[in-house]
Amino acid sequence: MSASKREKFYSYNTLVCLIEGLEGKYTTVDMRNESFVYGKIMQADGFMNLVMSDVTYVDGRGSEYNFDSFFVHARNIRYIHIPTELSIIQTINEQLQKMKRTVKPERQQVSKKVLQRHTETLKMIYGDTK
Amino acid sequence: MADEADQVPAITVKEPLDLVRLSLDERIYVKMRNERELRGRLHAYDQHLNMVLGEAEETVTTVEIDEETYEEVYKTTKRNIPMLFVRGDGVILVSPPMRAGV
Repeated sequence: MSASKREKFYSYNTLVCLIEGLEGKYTTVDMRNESFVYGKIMQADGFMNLVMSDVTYVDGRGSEYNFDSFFVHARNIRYIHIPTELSIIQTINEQLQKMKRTVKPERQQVSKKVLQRHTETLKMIYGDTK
Repeated sequence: MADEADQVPAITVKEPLDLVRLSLDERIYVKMRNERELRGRLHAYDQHLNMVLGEAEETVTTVEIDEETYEEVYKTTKRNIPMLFVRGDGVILVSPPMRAGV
């Protein structure tokens, strides 16, 4: 599974990388419909969608529900409480290190064969003017 | 030429978000959707106005109708959160805190 370019862009350029650095931590996420969840963040993607586990969900009326696994769509997030013992700048730096891109192999040179075929085609179309 | 370079201030304001940068590490006031307000120290922000606020105080204002007089009663509830990540899509405005309100 590979993230889209846009998703990677968000990971690199926005505070989403801080949230990705919260993976494995227990925290509270406040949602837009006045409810909140407390649990462990298992995974956060570049759009800030969250997969949590060992979750207690408290709805707007105060009723509690427990879930082993819980998905939060990014647009439903209002706040994410950050554990106080966490160093923000350190978390971001570590996360950026993890994401460090692997160097792509250099683009292949156009092979002689292809180049030859290309010139032949051009000759065929425009005639042998030279 | 060197003189010109020296005169350029450390932070230049070229776009609106540069004004937010001036508030980094200062206490700010954030008006949120759904009648919510936040006051806290701005630790970080990004282009979506996602923010990290330290020592944040959230104020939620709710309107209730008095059952006898039918008057609107505004109730505010406050809570403190030591470190808070705020998703930018709920932000309406960012400002230095109002003098009286802090």
